[in-house]
Amino acid sequence: MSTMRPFLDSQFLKKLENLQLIVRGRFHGTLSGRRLTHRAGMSLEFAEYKEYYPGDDLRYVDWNLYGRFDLLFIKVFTREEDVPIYLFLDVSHSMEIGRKLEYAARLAGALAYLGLKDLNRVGIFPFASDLVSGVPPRGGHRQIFEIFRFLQAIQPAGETSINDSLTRFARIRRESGLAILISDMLSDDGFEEGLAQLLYHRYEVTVLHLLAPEDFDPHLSGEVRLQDVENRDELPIYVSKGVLKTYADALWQYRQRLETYCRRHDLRYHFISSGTPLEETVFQTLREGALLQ
Amino acid sequence: MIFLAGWALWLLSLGLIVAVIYFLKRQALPVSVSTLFLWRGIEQTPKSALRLHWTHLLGLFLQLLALAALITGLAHPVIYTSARGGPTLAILIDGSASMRTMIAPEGPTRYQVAVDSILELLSSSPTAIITLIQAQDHSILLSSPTSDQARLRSVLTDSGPTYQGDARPSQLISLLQSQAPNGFDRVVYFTDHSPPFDETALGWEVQLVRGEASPQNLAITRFSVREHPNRSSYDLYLEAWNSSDEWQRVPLELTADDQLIDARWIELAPRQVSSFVFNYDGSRLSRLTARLVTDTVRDDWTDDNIRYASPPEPRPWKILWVGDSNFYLERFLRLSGQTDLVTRTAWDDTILTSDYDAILLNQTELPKPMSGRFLLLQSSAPPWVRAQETVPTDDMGVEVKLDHPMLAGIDPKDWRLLRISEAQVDPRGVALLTVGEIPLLYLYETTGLRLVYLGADLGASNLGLSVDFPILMYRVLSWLAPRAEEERNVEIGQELPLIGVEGPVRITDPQSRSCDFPSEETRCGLVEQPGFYELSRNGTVQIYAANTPSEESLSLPTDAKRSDLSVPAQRESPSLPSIAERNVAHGLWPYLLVAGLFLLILELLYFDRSLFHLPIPRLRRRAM
Repeated sequence: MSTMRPFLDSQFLKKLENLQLIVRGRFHGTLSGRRLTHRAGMSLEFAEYKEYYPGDDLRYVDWNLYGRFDLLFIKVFTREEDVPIYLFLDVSHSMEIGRKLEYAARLAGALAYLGLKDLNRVGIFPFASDLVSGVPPRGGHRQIFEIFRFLQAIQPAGETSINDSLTRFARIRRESGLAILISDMLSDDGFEEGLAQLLYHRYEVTVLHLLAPEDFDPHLSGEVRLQDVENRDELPIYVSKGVLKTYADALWQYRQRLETYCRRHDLRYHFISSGTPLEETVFQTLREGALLQ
Repeated sequence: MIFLAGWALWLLSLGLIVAVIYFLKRQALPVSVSTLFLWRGIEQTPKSALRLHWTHLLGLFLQLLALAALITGLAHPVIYTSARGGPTLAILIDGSASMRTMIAPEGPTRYQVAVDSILELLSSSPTAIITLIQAQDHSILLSSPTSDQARLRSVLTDSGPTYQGDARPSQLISLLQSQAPNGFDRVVYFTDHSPPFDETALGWEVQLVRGEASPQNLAITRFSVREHPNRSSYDLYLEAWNSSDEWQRVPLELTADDQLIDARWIELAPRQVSSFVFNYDGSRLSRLTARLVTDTVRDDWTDDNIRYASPPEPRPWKILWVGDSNFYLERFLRLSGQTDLVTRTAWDDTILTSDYDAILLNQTELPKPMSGRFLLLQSSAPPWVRAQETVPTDDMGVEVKLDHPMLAGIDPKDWRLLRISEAQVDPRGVALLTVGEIPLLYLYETTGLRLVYLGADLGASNLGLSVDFPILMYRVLSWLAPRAEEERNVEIGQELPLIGVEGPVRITDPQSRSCDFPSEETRCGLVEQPGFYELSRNGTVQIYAANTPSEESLSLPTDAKRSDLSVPAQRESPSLPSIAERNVAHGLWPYLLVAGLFLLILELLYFDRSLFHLPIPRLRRRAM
């Protein structure tokens, strides 16, 4: 990561000011945020009326209604709460191919900035074969610097196991929120079990499926020894056009499997290529995919 | 097709080594991918497996093909094609020093006559394809095969005779073969004397060039200088040649470093080489010149009347010092400038006695009897000398036991020796000096062995400080190993002795032109002019005297063929066909070299096929 260009430039961050994360679910935040909830609160947003009961604050009595109907009603306002945002970042060795990890870190940084801008709590949860130490979810402007520092120094390690990592997370975290998974999703043991665990614990899950051009268009031909970057397993193979087509079909089917699963379980799914400029991904792909507005 | 260097085809056997290495080292390129589980499901079809098999062999095939092309190119294959064109003619003009001889007083030189004859030959052969070679010790190609007469005439008239000796036939034949591997229709050699080979066997015509009158030449054919053994004067040796049939009395001038040191009349016997010896009692010389003054007599070639000499330079003694150091003797050896000293603390088996002029052993022992030249300082060399403990001399004087040239002018009476090593010496040797019964200076000599033993403890005597010490050591070393001398005379056509010289050398020729060796100029270091060459390196200057080979002066009248002829013998030249059908040789090596390199590049690209790749985003389009 030392060769990484400036993490996120100020122009890009300035543009992010106009965006916000779309949260569809109902979460009970613990701190004051900018997201209006159905819970009564102290915001300026009027929600409804309710009958006055002794003990209610007389300041919220609607005297106009009292004048018309001779009944006492209390004005109820919506409550602005924060949302916990969990950014899961795949840091396995496979993310080295095509500089996916660098791209994922910058994308995570942008999403974290958006989350913190709206006074939410944002945490980074890197994972490979299991969860590894990250940045716990917190709000406040200091958190963004901590997240940026962490993302800049992040190093690839280990093999991918989405199931194990997400299952472990679901077990140790009780507060649901927005879970954004940034990964190439290339895990031998699949992804279904992990995503199911998040769904079971009522997380609102978004899968950002990040692949590099090297993954979907490998520049290979002739006799090669394919080496798994994670476990160093090798596979001698003669790569012909037919073999490349078969591989492309296999990858396509794998993607379809993931996308179908997400659609069926009402998860948001976005395919991202690390060859696409980050700005295009954020301001076009993710906006069109209803993660940002 | 024939191969001019057929031996190179044996190198094709290297293909076996290439094949063995290929199969031992063959390994596909490792390529990292994000995951293998998507690839594992892909089954290799029999077709792709077959392709994989052939792919293995394709790399080897390309390598072997490249090797075969390069080696075949090295074998210099030549193919012949029939072509019609002018006849091929090779003209060789003798460029040796004797061609400077004038054919008549004030007349042209033999070389100029030869040039005129060749120009006539050119005029009579307008369609011929002509190769022009100047033949001397280092023959040169004046013109490659051409029918451009204007160019040939220009090259010829611009050329001139050298100061070199006669051409070597093997070199001439190689030069001719390099221009026409299939041979020439005609070869004509213009020279002033019969060549030292059978020209008829080669099918060459020899055109002798000389004047109508019999040539007359006075020459100094040899001149050398040697330092007299007493190192205070020089002996000058001179030989002079008189080719005429009469006694000739001519003045001889000898100069040393541009100073006239002697001038006298000498008489030269007819058709003989006369020898003279002069003595010069002067200081160190570097440039000596001897000159015959032939103003009053007929001499057709005056260049050989002057000859140069430089005295040979003594080469330093190469001495191996084994054992303890000794201040007095080491200082003498190092400061005298006459020794090249190598030191070892102890004897080891890697030492070769033949590598050194002398081996000095100080307070140590020669491990086993061996041949060589040894100076033993309180040291042993069993079985000839066994040095023992040092003992006090009790003020006993040194006795001279034998009047030997090594002790001439040395007076040991003034020596004060406090201690001396006792020693048992072989009685077949000679003890020159003794202290009582103990030998102090002892010599032993047998086949392949010379040995000097000195028993004095130099640290406990005044010997090292006395004036006798350096004289004695010099004579000891001279007895052990007479000093070799470096010859400082070279013949024109030779190269100056620069091989193995460290650092740059500035060479100044007799015309005061300089060049630095090593140099890109290929002629730098080649002796081309008579006179003195100066070699300057690291502040020291060495003088080399360069002279024309004496055979050039001597060979003319002794040549039977030429002496029998008083007029030019123009042989009847065979007529050349105007248009000839002949085979033209085409060398194939450049094409094979290019093919070999192309195959190597192809093999490289095949090995690393990523160079072929164009970024075509197949899946990406579908994925987006």
